[in-house]
Amino acid sequence: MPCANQRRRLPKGWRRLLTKALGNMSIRNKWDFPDLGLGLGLRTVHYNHILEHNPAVDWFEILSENYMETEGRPRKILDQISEKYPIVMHGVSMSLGSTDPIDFNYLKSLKALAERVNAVWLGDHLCWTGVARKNGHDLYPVPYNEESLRHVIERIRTIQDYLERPLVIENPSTYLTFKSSTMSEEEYIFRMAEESDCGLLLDVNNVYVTCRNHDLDPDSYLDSIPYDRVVQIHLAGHTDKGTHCIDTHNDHVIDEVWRLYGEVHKRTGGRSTLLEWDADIPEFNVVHEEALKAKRYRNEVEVVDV
Amino acid sequence: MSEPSLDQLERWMMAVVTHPKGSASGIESPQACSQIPVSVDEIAQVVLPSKNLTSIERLDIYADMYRWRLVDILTEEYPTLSHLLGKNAFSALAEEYIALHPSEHYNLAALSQHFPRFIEEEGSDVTHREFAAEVARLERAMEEVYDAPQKDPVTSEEFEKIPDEVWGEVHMDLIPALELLSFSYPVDEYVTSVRENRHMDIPDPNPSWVVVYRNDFTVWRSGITREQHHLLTELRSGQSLGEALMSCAKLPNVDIGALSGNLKVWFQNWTGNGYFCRLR
Ligand SMILES: [Fe+2]
Repeated sequence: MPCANQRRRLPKGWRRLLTKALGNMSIRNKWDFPDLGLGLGLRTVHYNHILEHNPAVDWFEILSENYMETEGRPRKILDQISEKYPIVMHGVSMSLGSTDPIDFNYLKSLKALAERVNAVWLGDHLCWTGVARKNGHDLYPVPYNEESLRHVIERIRTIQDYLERPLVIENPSTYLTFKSSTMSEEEYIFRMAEESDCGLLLDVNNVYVTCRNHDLDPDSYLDSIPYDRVVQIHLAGHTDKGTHCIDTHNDHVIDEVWRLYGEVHKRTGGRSTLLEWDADIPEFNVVHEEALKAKRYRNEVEVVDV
Repeated sequence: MSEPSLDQLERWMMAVVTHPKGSASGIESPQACSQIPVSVDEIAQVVLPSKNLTSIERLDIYADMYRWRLVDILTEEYPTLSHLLGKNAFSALAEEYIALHPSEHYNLAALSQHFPRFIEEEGSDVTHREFAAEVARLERAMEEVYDAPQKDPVTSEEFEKIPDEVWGEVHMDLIPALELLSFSYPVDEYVTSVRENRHMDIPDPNPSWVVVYRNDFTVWRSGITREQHHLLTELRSGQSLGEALMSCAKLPNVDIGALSGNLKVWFQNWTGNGYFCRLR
C-alpha cells in the first residue's frame, strides 16, 4: 500500500460499532445545519429549464467562482433562482493548502456573494490550486503530514474568522501519494476538522476514486469520518481507466458509490445530498432523476433525532 | 534525501505538472530542481507509485489535466479563431500562450486577457496573423462585455426630455458593458458566418467598425460606420455631444449633411439598444 502509516487517532471501526449500537438514530451535525434534501449543481445549460419549469429540486449548489467576477447573465439568473431555492456555495479557489498568502480580495467577494444569495453554508476543498502566484485551476493534493496539517488548520481558522461562519470542506479525488505523507487521508481530515472546528462535505464518489487510485479500502475510509461534522454529501460519476479513476463528473453514479452512500446514510440518518454532473451534461430531467435515486437509500433508514 | 518542506513540494509540483513537455521534462527543469533536486529515476523519493501506475504516470494525470483544461477554455472562448487556424494549430498556440502567460487569477475569464496581443505579436507561426489578431480582439471583447459591470440604461423618455437648446452641452456616459472596435478587415462578418456554420473565405482587407454591447443580459455585435465609431468613442472619452460632433466633422472625407441628417435615428437606435447609462 503506497500510503504512509495507518496510525489513527480512533480505534478502527469504532464508528461502525457505534452506529450499530445506536440503531437507526441519526447523528446530528454539530451546527444543526438542516438536511436540505436532494439538490443539484446549478449549470448554465439548465438555466432556461429551471426558470421556465420551476422543477421540484430541494436546493441548488453553485460553483462560487462562476458568479463572482461578473455582473452579467450568470449573476442575473442566480438572483432569480436564489429567490425560489435554497443555495449552497461550493468554491474551488480558497487554496487552503497553498503556501501563498490567503487571498482576502477573493474572500471579500465570496462573502459578498454569500450574503447576496443568502447561502445556507459555503465551502471548498482540501487542496491547493496554485503557488507563487501561478494558478493551475486544479485541486492539487497536500502531503498528509504534520507540517501541512498545521498550515491548513491555521488557514481554515483565519478564513472562518473572516467569513464569520464555519467552512464545509470536501475530501478531494487525488491521483498521487507524496512520500512525505505520514498519515492517511482519513486521519488527516479527522484531525483537520476537529482542530479547526470546520464542517465536512463528504464526497462519496471521491472516496471511491481516491481509494481506487491509492489501493485503499473505501469502507475502512468511511469508518474514520467524524459524522457529526458532515454537513453535506456529494455524489457523481467518474471515468474508470482500468488502472485508475478520474473524477470527471460526466456520467451516472456507479452502483458501488451508491452502496457507499447507503453506508454513509446509515451513519448520519440524513444529510443534504447533491449530485454533481459537470461534463457531457444531459438534459435536466436525466440529472434530476439520477439525484432522486438517493431516495431509495434515504428511505431505507428510519430517521430518529438524538 | 531530507523531506521537502510544504513550500518546496508545492513549487516543485507546480513546475513539474505545468511544464509544456510533460512531467518527466518538468522534473529535470531548473525551476523544479531548484526546489527538489531529484532526477526522473529518483522520483519515487518524492511521489510514490501505485499498484498500477508509475510515479511519472501519476504526475502526468495532473500535467495532462492542466493543459487540456486551459486549452479547452481558450477554444471555447475563441471558436472563430480556432476555426480560422485549425484545431491543431490553435491548440499548439494555446499551449504556447499558457506557458508564456500562466494564469494568475482564480477567475478563468482573466486567463486569455493577453491572448489577442499574443496572437498579434508573440505566437509562433500564426497564419494570417493580422486578420487572426483582429478576430481574437473581437472574441475577447465579447467575453469582457459578457461579464462587465451592470448599469441600467437611460430610457428613450429621459432622452426626449432634454431641451433642444442644451443638446450641444450634454455628456452621455456609455454603459460599461459596451466596447468599440475598429479593424482593417471585415471581422464581424467573418465571425458571424463561422458562428452560423456558413463558409466564408478569409476576406481581403477592408476597414470595419464594430460595437459589442450587452442589452438585457445578452451580448450583441453590430457593424457601425466610421463616423458612428468616432462619435461614440468621443462620447466615451468624456466629450460633450457638441464637441464629439465637431471632432467627427473633422474626419477626412466626411459627409456633413449625411452626418447631421442621420443623427436623430442613430441616437434613437442607440438609446433603444441601451448604450447610455447617464446623461449630464
Ligand atoms: Fe465533489
